[in-house]
Amino acid sequence: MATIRRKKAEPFSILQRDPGPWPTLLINWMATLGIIVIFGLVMLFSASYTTGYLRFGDSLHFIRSQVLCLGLGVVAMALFSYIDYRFLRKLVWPGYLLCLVLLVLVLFSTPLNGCRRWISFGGFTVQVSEIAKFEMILLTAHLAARAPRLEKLDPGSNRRVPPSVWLYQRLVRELIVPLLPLLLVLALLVLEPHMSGIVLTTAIVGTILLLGGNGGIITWAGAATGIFLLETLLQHIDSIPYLQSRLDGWTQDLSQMTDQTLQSLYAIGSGGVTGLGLGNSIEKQLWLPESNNDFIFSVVCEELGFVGAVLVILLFVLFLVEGLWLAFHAENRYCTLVGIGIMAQIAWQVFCNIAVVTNTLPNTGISLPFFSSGGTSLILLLAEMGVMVNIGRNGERARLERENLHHLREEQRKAKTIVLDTARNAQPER
Amino acid sequence: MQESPKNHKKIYYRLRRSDPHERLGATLRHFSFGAAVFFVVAAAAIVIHSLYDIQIRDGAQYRQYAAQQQLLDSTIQATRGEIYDTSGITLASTSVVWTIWADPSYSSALFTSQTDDDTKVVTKTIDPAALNEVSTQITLRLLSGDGAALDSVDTSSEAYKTQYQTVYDALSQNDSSYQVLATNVNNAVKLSIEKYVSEYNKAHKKANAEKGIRKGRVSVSSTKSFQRDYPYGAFAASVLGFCDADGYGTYGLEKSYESTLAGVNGRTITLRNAYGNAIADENATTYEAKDGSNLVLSLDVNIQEVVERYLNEAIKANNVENRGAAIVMNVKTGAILAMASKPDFDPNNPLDYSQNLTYLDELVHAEPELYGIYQKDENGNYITDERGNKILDPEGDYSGYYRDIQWKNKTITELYYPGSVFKVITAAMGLDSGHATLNTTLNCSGAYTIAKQTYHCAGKKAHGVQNLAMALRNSCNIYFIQLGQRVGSSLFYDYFDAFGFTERTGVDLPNETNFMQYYNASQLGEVQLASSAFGQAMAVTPLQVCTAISAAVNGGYLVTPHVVDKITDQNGNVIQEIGSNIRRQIISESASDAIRQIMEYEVADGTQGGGGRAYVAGYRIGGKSGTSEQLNMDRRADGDYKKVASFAAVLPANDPEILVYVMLDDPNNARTDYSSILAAPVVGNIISEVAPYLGLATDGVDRGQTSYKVPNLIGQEWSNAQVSLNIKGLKHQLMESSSDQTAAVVTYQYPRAGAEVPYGTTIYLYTDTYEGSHTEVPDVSGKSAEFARQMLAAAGLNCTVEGDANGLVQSQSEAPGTSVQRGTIVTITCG
Repeated sequence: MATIRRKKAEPFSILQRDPGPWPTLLINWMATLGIIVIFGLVMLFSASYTTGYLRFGDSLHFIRSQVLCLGLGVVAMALFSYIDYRFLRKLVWPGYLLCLVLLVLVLFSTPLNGCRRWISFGGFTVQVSEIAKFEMILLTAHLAARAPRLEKLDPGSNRRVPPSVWLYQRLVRELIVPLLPLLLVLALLVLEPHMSGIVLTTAIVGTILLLGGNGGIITWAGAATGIFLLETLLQHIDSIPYLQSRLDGWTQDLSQMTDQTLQSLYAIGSGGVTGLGLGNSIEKQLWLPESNNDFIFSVVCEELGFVGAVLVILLFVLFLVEGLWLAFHAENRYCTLVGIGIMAQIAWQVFCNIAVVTNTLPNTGISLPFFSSGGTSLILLLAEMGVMVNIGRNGERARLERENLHHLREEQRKAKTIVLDTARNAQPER
Repeated sequence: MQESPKNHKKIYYRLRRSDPHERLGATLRHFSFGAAVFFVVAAAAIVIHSLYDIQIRDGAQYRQYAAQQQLLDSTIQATRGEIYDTSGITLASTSVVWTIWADPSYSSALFTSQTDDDTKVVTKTIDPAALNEVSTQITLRLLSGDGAALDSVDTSSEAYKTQYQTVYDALSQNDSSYQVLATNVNNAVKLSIEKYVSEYNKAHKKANAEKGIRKGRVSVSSTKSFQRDYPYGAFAASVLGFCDADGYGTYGLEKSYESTLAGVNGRTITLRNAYGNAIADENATTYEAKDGSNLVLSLDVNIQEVVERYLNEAIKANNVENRGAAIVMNVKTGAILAMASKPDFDPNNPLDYSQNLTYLDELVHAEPELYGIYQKDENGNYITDERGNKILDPEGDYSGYYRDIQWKNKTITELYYPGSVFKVITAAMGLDSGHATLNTTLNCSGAYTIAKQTYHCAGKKAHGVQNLAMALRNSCNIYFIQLGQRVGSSLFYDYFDAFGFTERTGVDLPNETNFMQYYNASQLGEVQLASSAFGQAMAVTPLQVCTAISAAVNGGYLVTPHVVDKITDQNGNVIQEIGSNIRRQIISESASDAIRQIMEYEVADGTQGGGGRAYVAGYRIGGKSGTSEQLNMDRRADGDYKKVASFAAVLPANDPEILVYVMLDDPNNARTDYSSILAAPVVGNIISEVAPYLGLATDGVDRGQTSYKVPNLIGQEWSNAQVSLNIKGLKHQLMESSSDQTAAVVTYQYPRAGAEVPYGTTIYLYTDTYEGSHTEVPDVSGKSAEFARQMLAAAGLNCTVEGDANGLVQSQSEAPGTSVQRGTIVTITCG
């Protein structure tokens, strides 16, 4: 009888002195990130200085705190790139508890626009769902990675696993169990309420499971159904009053549209092919609400035109593909899933944000990573990027180790092998 | 080792705990990575497609919509042109003023707000201390005049309290976002308030517990506007008119020359932010404002002042109920030198009738047929008394009438029966048509009956046989009825029409009446013709009378009267010159000459009746008085018809330059209704000052060496006293009395009666004191004779020159610095 081998707990350290060598791709990926961050900072300054001046009497009102948080974020990124991912994995459950505590605490905060989403630590205001997203990436990756596998004893056999066993494995062990912690988080987010947080967290968790192969065909079928039912789904959440108004404004009819979306379309449309030029946006002169935040991409479109907007999108595509490559070439399943989760977060936020400003999706309030103003979001994102760096370097180390092992084996094999030709050639001489 | 198939089946798979070092399976890895890249690229394609649709396919449309909201089309206000009198004195000008307003809802320093957790309702509670501080500071600046002299403001005054309360109340309205604190604020005060507010906001930018400063701000802004200033107040008001609160001309010249004065506002089209403020825009387009042009009037403030002064006196003295009007006009060009309707209004504050309230209240009650407000029942029907007469509503709101009356230019808006003044026109008709000559004699037996209607002359006199000149002086109705009959209905109407009585005069003033009341040729029956011949059937405006009389004496030319002489641009260059416009010749030169003769005969040398009281020694004056009965109006309390006393004079009579016309509507002088006593002296008084001022030709008689005996004027009514002096060639000065008893009799005069004085000596008249006021004699030694005369006149002294009048003053009869009575004759010796 086969027994399940209980491995000894792997040794780990809190900080890795040298997580591994720097793969070229990781350096390229970080360069892409750098370009995006600097690009984002320039655009934020351009989009925010009028609002800052007119609302707060200080052109640098937004950019100053953003630069400060960027500095903190880079420190966080460096720190996280040296924290052993195994250590982080050990912390997922305490982290989950902390996250729940924060999500409960936030329900007692002062509401802003009817929602309780922000919690204050000293001078910093933190949106708890941002932390929850990070935590859910780590936790889901952990649970999905440690789900037990069905293993054929005889790989060559064509016999199929009975459907009930297969279903239980795929659905319960691989999907429902990793999803359970999410439900509690979602329930707390509903109480805030925070619809974009719910959608994003669910999408990120879903993507981890989907691309990680958990649930296999069931997850794919579920995802496909979800996309097809999106329209119907939106009709159904129509009954929630606070979403109602946002959905009512989601229309192609300009006269019915919410002013924010309308102004966004004006801004994007005004840009044309080449844009009005950096700094020349007119919509940012208070016409476009949240031009420094959720709607910063409209200002990018207005100032840099179609060309600039596509450039930004392509930068993100490049960044995501490189990031995903790093994730899929990580050391182990857990690292891959964490990498997928982090990249999924960026991908979903970028996609949803641009889809919202172009009126492809209803207005949800999702910020554009590295562009929108918002300090805690930037710090957390950069911390996540630090995790990616750690994963990338560990992955490279593992790859080199595998390669070395491979070479070693090859050499051992070569050493053991009798080379026929040599042997034959050697015979006549004998 | 053989295992049963059943057993084998059970264990051909197993659950394996995941290996922490295990990677994703190669197939899964490749598939998932491919799928992930596919998703990323697909998502990018979706959003790029959306962007393509918005930016390239529909870009132009969105750009257009965006431009509609982003473009700011702001007006650059043109400066309104000014109005000058003929010598360049400013009668109306425009200055920039500011409206100070606040946004109390945004002024967080002035209130504390609390949000109810459940209802989300924000309750704002005013902060009395802060409100008091800000209100006080703003009020002090508003009342300081220059924004700096805050200490000089009397905080206990009524004005301060009112202004403070206004500011305080406005700032307490913390739900409102627009509250006006003050209007018509000058630039210095505006700057001072802005400075104060910005300093206040700086100090309250951060909370400071030690100094007790709460964080907050005060939002006060200003808006530019223009204010029209009329430096002389209630002066030529019905001619100048006024502008409404928005700066549009509403009455008078301001209205008729609105487009000239207003100019053309400019525009700036530029980009704006959502607050509505312009933002830097290199493509901004600006069309400069074209400032309004200035009006230079033919009106002369000096003449206007004389006219208004004597007209006011006459209205008060004779208890004139329905206002009076006067015109001084150039008979050859139609240029109006003075035009007054009194009482009038202050164009700086045209809605305010409080100055005239007593008069206007009396007016509306004296003329209920014009301005009556009658009681109505709840159905809106009039309530009538037992005789079927409507009952005046004692609580009627007459304020609309008050304003209407004080604004109206009586000379062009109201019709009246011209009465005997019209006989000049009837005479002109007879002379020009050949139905009469100067020598045509007709008999007046005291009564004349046409179709059962018997006509009398005033006072039921029988004038006997008289020629045209005598008939005019006697103002014989019966003579002119017969003359009218000779002319005949058809021709009479043709002349009436030709003299311009059936149309507007075309004066460049608004609101000239379009309604005329006359009989045309077919309606002009025997009775109507008879009444029309002496001016009691066809109603006309005073200005129509003036143009007709002018035509009768100027050689027969009907001219268009005009107030504006020139239109100049902002640099003073003449854009347009409004010359005389002769509409047509009505009568021949010879007929006109005859009219001049008979009109001069009427005034003569002041010793005869008729127009004698309009005589001013030294000038040849023609004139005609008219006392008309307002047959279409209610009767007076004494049972007689309401009267209009009017007088038209032209001078010099041989070649008239100017016409002086005065009309008093509904005078109530206890002693007489006759225009020759009521209106003629006003004309005479006006001529006595205006004729020398204009330097009109005199009668050529040298009176320089003649001395005159001053008549005893004490006990005479002031106007008669003045007439006596006018006729003698002596000047007069009515000393303003504190009791304003202009109707009263003269109580004191200086020089005294019997004194021998030279021609042109000014006699000072008093109506309320029994002794003259004193004045200090100036030192005139070493001055030229003419300059010395002017200095002495300015001091209220008369002057005779001895010795060589071309030399300098060597000595003066009264020592410099001594106090003498006004009117004392100072003899200066020149050499």
